[in-house]
Formats: sequence, structure tokens, C-alpha cells
Amino acid sequence: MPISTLAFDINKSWRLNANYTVQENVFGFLYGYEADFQGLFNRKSYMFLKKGKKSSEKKLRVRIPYLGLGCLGLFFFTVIFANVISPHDPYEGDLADSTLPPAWEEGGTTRFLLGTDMLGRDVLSRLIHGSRISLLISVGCIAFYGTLGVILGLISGFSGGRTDMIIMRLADLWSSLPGIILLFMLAAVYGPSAKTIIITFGIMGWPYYGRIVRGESLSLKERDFVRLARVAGCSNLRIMVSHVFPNIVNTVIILATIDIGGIIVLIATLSFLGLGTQPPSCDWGLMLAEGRQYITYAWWLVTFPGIAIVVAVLGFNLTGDWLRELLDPKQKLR
Amino acid sequence: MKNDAIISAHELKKYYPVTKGTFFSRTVGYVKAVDSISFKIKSGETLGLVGESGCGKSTTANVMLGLESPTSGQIMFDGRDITRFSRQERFDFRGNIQAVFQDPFRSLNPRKKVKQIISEPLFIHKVSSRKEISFRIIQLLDLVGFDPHQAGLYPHEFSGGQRQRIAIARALALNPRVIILDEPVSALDVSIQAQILNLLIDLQERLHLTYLIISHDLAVVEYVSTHIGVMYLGHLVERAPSEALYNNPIHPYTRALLDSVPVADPEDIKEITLEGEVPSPLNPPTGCAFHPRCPLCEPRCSKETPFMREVAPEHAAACHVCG
Repeated sequence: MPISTLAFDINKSWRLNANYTVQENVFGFLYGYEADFQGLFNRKSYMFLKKGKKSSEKKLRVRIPYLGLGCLGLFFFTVIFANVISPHDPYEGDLADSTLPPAWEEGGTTRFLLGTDMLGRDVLSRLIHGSRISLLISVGCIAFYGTLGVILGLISGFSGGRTDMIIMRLADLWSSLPGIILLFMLAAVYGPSAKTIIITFGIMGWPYYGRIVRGESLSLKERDFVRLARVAGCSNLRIMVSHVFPNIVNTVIILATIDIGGIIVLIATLSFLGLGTQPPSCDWGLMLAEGRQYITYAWWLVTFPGIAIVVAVLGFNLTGDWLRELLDPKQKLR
Repeated sequence: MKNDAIISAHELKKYYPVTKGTFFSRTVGYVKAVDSISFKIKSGETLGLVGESGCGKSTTANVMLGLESPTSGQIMFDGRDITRFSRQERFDFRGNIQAVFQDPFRSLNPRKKVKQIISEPLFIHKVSSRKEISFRIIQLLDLVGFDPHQAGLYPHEFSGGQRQRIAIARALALNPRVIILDEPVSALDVSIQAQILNLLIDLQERLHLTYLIISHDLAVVEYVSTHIGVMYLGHLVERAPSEALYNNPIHPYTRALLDSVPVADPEDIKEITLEGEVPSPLNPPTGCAFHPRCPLCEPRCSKETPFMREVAPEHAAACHVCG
């Protein structure tokens, strides 16, 4: 069912005149709506030869995960504008305002929309600032071990032979080390903090990526286009970067987006256990841990951090799923 | 100089070691994939290599392309031995020999656009400016029968035959003098095969190319080649101009191969039909490699290795009995 008509005409201006229809789907709210774009994705082929004939006029179907992008948008909005939108200081409270319920409950005030904790700090402000910590730690971890894993996996799969064997046995060895014990150890030496978490998981996580990337590059390096690249004179580095890596980037993105959700939960768990960030930090997991004791008469202290975690994780997972489809050139035309 | 061989192989050997153990491995034997083959291709001519699967045709192509280094032997190109090149020399030389491979669905990077695929060799060798490269792309696309506007498409938007034409355009990018065609049409529909072969012949005339075509399909090789080499178990058993080979095959294996081509008239009697399997290259037969399956086998065939003997000008065969 067509809902709206808008798109881009590249040759003239950014005036919208091509077709874009949105199809309604029962599960559309969760998995996204399907939309037909015309001429949006072959823009580059126009740019390449302006005077040439029009490129193939095929319809490009792209589904848009409104829910996923919405969640992620909300998340990043709070990350970027935390200072602007948070109504109170997340670290300071007045004991006179202790454990006020959310605004719509009896006894709540509009000053504290989602209520206050036992120290009188605004829950909403703490949630908003907590998004920064979640993003910082999860992206830090992923960037750290993702990069390490991808590089080692590429080298391992591409070189083969002895190098491959050494790196993979190292990965086996690494996976057998219990990460949580290492975290205890590092937390004992350097004190529990965001930095400790990033370093621990950064060191511990790479075999997972390394193995998958190795497997993919192992199969890719036998492809004829890699042999042809050699015949053309490509160096190993160039083949890895420009032929093998683009073909595994999908996998890495899927892994990373699924992982980021998992890591947000993991950080919350660690904070809950007292191994993560320490009070008065406003990490979501820490908020859960602190609110746990008051759950019988202050439900808002655990409910809202829980919802925040769900929203962030859902946003990353749904968007990751969508990105995977969008980045695969074969998926564009159906 | 025109009649001189542009590329030739001398006593080319490629043995693969068979190893045991993982880390401290030792060699327990060799697979003789290519065993002492020699041939010459003159400028503008086409040599077809035929043989059953596993006879070393593709290994020969890989060695010629420098993808693998030969165990011994020489490959001479314009009087230079390309197997002894240094890294830099090899890189500079790459443009002279290019290749087209069998499966066009695997030989084009699915993540790159046609223009990127075709222009990659140009970028690597930094032969021209960006502007010249985009002209060159149009020129190359035109050469293989595409419109310039198709440069921005991805390989999956093309059919098998079209993809193979893209692969050919890429091979032509650096103005090579020799193109090695490894089963260029065997992955394609029969109707498309002729189209690609005609394109190859047409390009050969226009650009004065030299081909080494590798195929198991005798009809394909006959159509394109000026000379044909027949391979069996890593050995070249017969080498002749195309017509001579088809009209007057010497080696019993060549005869069997030609007899195995299906004919329209079932009354035609097949002279030689082969039985049994190709022996393992890990443990090849002594003497003539073909003797266990040869209908004309004599006692000395299992003892002495036959060498190539000229039976007519340019026509040589490795057989004790025939010729």
C-alpha cells in the first residue's frame, strides 16, 4: 500500500520526484518496511558517465527498520546531547528528594520525570548520562578486539601454513583462559573501572573474530579473482585489503552489532557484580545493582535502567541485521 | 624475428611434495603434476593444451602465470627466462602475460563494480592518469561489446557469457602480448561458447595476441588453435599443428582422445577405446606413462621412457611404437 511519494532526482537537483512506496507488513514495525527506491543507489553510475544512457532502470528494494533505527537514534541522541537534555546533574541529589516516584505516580513531581533514587538523584538524568558509558565501553571493547581479531584472522587465513597454525593455536590457548578471572585480577591490580573492562575484553575477545575471519579468508583466497589479482601484480597486502576484506566486512559487521548488544548486557552484569564501573558512576548495570535493594517500594530504580538496556540492544541488533542486507550488493536487486 | 617463439617452455617441471606430520614435516614423495614438458608458441599463434582432468594442464597455466614457481625448467619470453625474475622484474613483467579463468562467477570480485574490476591492473601498475584510465575503461568495454554505461554495474547483474567478456576486458587492460586461457568456455552454455570463442579470435587478430588455451574440449581447441599439445599424466605426448593432429594423430592416446569425440553417425567405428583409469601421478607407471592403458603396448614401453621425436615438420610425438 503506497503511503508516500518521495525520492531523489540526481541529475537535476535534490528536488524529490521519483517513486518511493512503502509496503505495509504485519511485522513491519519490528523488521522494517519495504520501500522501492528508484535511482538512489545507482547514483554513482550516473556520476561516472553523465552523458551515457541511463543506467538500468531496475527497482531497488530496501527495507527500513524503523524500530531499530528509532532505538539507535534515541540512544545516540542521548549520547550526543546528554549535557543539554538531562534536566539535573546526574551525580548530585538532595536527600530531601529521596526516592520520589515517577511524575505520573502519586507523590511524583514533574521536576523528576522518572523519579529519584535513594540519594535524591534524578533517574532520567542518570539514564541519559549512562548511555555515554555504555557506548564508550561497548564500542571500545569491540573496536579493540574486533580490529585485533580481523587483522590476525586475515593474516592467519591468508598466509596459511605455519603462521596460520601458530595464530590459531594461540587463539585456542587464549579461549581457554577464563576472562572473568582475568578481569578479577586486573580489577584487583588496577581497580575496577571502564578502562579495566575495555582492556580485559579487548585482550580476551579476539579469537572469536579471528577464527571466523580466518575461515572466510581461507575460502576467499582460493577464489579465481584473488588469483587474477596476483596475475595483475597485486601485492599480498593489497589483495587482503581490497579483495578479501571487502568480502568479509559483512560478517564482521554482523558480529560486531550482535556483540555490541551482548557487551552492553555484559557491562551491566559486571557493574551489577561490582566488577565494573564504581559508584557514583551512572552506568545502567550499576543503577540496577543499586536499585535492587529498594525494589519492593521503588520499582522505578530497576525498571528504567532495564528498559534502557533493552532499547539499546534492540537498536543495535535490528540495525545490524539491516546493514548486513544493505551492504550486500546482491541483495539490492530482488 | 616475427617467426620466433614469443613464449616457450623448456623441460618445465612442477612437483608437489607430499608431506607427513604437521609442524616438523618431512617429504615422503612427490606428485609430478607437470613432468618435463616443452613447447613453443609463436607470436600471433594459439597453442591448445588438451588432456583429461588431472593431467597437469592447469598447473602448467599456473606456472606460466607465475602463480607457482616451477620445480625446474625455464619459461622464455622474448629471450628472457621469466622464472628467474626478481620481485620487481616480475611485477614489471606482469602486464605481458594475462589470464582468463574458467568460472566467470568466481573470477570477478562480487564487491567491485565492472569499472573497478577492469581498471585494477591499470591502477596497480600506475600506467596512466585517472582521466586516461576512464577512457581506457570505455575503450576496453567497447572492445568486448559493452556500452560505457554498464561500467557502474556489479558482476552479479550480468550473465555468465557477459561476465566472461568482462574478464577478457580485464585481461586486456595492460595490453598483454600473451593471454593464458584456462578453460575459458567450459563453464558456459554451448550457445554462449561460440560467441566467446569468436570474440577471442577476433581480438587475437585485432590486437595481435598470442594465446595458450587450455581445455578438455577438443572441439573448442580445434576451433581456436593453430597448434595443439596433448598432455597425459604431466607429460606432453604429442605436439602438432592443429590440422595435422586431427588428420594424422600419431600417439595412441591422441587417437583415443579423438575417437572419443561423439560423432553424428553411429556407424563410424571407434578404433581405440581406452579402458581403466588415469594412474595416480603420485606413483606413475615406469617407462611410458601411458603403457598400462595403451592398446599398442610393447615390452620396452614399460621400461624406457619415450622422448619426443619429430615425425613431420613441427609434428612430434613421444611413442616408441608409432611414428
